Amino acid sequence: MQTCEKQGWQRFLRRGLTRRQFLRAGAVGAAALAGSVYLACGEESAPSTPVAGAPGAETPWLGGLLRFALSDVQGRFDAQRFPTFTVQAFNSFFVSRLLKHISAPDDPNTEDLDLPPSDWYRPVPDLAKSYEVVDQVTYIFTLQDNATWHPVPPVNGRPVTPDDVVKAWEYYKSARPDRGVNLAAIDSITVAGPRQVQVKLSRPFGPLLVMLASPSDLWIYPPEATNNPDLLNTTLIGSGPFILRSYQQGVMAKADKNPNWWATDDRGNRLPYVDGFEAYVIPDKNNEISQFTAGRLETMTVPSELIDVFRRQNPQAIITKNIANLLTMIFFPPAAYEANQPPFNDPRVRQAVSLAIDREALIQLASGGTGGKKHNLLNAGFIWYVDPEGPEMGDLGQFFRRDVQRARQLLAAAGYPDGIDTELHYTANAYVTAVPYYNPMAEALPAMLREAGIRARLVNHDYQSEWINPQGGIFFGGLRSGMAFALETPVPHPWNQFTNQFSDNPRNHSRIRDPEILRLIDQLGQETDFDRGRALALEIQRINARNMYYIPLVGPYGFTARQPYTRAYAAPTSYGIGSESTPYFQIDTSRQRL
Amino acid sequence: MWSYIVRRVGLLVPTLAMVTVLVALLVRLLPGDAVEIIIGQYTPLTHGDREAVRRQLGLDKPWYEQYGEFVAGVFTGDWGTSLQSQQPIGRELARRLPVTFELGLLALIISIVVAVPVGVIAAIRQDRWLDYLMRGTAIVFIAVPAFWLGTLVVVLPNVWWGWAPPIHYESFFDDPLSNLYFVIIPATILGLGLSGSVMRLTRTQMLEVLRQDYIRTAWAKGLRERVVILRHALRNALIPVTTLIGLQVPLLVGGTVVLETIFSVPGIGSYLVTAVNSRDYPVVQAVNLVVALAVVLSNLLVDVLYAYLDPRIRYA
Repeated sequence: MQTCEKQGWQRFLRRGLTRRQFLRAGAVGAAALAGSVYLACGEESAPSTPVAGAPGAETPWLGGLLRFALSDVQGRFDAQRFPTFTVQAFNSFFVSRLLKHISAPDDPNTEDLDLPPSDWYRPVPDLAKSYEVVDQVTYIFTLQDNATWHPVPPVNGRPVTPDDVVKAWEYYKSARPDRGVNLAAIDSITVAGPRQVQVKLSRPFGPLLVMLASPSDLWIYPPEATNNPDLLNTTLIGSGPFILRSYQQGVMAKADKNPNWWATDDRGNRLPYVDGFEAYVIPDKNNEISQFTAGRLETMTVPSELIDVFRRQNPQAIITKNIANLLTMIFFPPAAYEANQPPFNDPRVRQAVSLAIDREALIQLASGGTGGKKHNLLNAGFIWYVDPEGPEMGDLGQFFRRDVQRARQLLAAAGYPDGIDTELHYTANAYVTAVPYYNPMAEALPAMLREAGIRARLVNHDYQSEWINPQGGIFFGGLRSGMAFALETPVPHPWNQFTNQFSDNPRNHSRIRDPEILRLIDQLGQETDFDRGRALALEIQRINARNMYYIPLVGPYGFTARQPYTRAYAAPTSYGIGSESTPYFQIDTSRQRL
Repeated sequence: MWSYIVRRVGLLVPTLAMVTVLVALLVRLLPGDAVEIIIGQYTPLTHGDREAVRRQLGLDKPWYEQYGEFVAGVFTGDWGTSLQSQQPIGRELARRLPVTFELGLLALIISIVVAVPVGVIAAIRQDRWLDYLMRGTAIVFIAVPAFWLGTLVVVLPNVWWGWAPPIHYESFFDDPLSNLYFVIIPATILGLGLSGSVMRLTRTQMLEVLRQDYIRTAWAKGLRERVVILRHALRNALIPVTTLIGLQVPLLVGGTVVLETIFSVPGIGSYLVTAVNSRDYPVVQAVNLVVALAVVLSNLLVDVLYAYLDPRIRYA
């Protein structure tokens, strides 16, 4: 068994305290701060606020009704049977995971989330207060001492037991339509003590902790619910921060604070701070903005195309910005790697494509002028993202800046002094509403490429029959020639993405075989240390940038606004929002209009 | 008359069959995989997993077989199960139909209350400034689409006064005032849209009736204007107007689809939009069947009512 020093939380949270957070917490004093990071071996007490932005010196505002708009789950509650992000986000208010992702401190003075990129998606306690790594394939998780199910029938507030976790795991395996492929490395979960479960792996699996924290996978439902499909289909019972009181499909959900949730802040206040929430289904974004302006919503997400209008209507609103976990990229035909088919078999040509792209202009286009970020192979909203032009990428940052002259030189050096004639394939009928900037970006790319001598004809494909058709669809290795502009499927961990993109997998869109990357992926799959994992991911991103196997593009900012009479010490960074950030939301009830 | 009604009812069946077949076919032509939308586009399903889910949802069968099962279910009172929620569609329709019915009825009442008096006034003040004003207004109501007016009502009062339409629907039986406050705004927008054509027809009919001999006789008898207009002229002028109101049911349905989305009204219009977006085929079929039934029945009702209101009409 490894020592306490090797245990995850301590180190994660210690690293999570930035200078700004330290100053913020200054008045509380070092003792309180030390208490907030004390999770050693976890046996003595439940951890304090597992969020990077602790309330610090300010007295928290208690009570109030939080109101926001909800993407309707359409009557689906079971996040194992229906693992869509909408259902998972809804579950996060009511149902626990063993771990969850760290939240970002929300500083009202800046729109940027005050969380270092290296801390993004760090796992922190949820239902499990600590873990021990016994050996490479054995983990022991200790549950929160005071974790109980919601005080509603049939569980009636009974304690959450290790046996419940085991049964939730069994339900996960049986109910998931993908047969639990993300956690396939888990051989068994068994009871290991009065408050402990043992997770046994079939092989060393580095991403385990991040995967367990991800809202994509293991939700701990009570066996009373999983044994009774009628119950699970009509309500949500868990041990999370809120208790579902009512749900009307297409109308709203009402929830009360769970008075017995395990978490407290540094002052001993039980979380959540608010008394409850009402989440309304408001399909029309204009209506949602009007409701926010009228003071009927405390928080909302604002699409980038409406942010200017929103700011004018709500000059007092506190806004944070974030990038969605979605990679836009260009990939090349498998024949370029498998059969050395020109011109894209030559890395200089691929680099020239990257150099020809004006990413700043794409950001303007995608965001309507409100800004965004350049993606690396890991997108700018994902764990272990590294700024492609930052110091960690060294001189490889040059390939992410437009340089038409250099692009032409590289093409000439590769034997194409007159440029190349090719195609740019995309699908126009899939993302019109979900990713509205995808089609405009596709339409803008050929003009950028043409200036560098890459004359790409835009070719549209039907999404269903030609793009994601498992039998030869372009997304699944069916690109015969030219380039493809695509969105990469979001996954819970970089290891999944790299495995998809580079190993023997239908999602290895170009059938790339790079032995160095494969070796690093293998290492990453076994690496249990968060920071060493990040270093491996960085190296893979560097190799990709050097070879431009996949050409990462850009993502626009999305915006989250809240009323001036609120505090949100934790801003949402993932769709596990219900337990990761909402419990820390505070409302000055004297200024709230109900 | 009765034989006419029986024949018309008999024609309902092929009409509804055609509508439902067309809908069942068209909704399956929409791009996007129902399985991926329902299960989660980003869940890493293998081809085998996807097929298993498809089987589980009954989507592996040919469309005509799925359609046949749907129709057979409807005849036994089972409207099927939503692919999305796995809940009975019949239960959801029962919850949402009264909401849409209320919205539609209120819109119809508003359109009549606005259009008929305005049409009458425009007719008796023919070619004066009031007539021009009312005719112009009617054309604006006809020309302005409901979604645009709805968006303006959501946005402009908010910009000017910080006002927003109510956010939360309450059932009429739980809280009548809240319910009316919630429904009155989309109903007014919908009603005004319908009132334009009703107003214009009312005016035209009134002008025609006012030139009839029996109206001249009524004036000659020395009857008061109110009696001539309301008792003798309007009652006859309203016969074709009644049919027009009945024929506006399809427009009403179309309007509710848009306005329910803008104003977050939990009726069958918003149910349909959600179902189309999520490729929930059984729900799309069920809602369209209900809508088609409503349209066909309202047309039948109009025909029957026409014969009832005008004894000269005889259906062979």
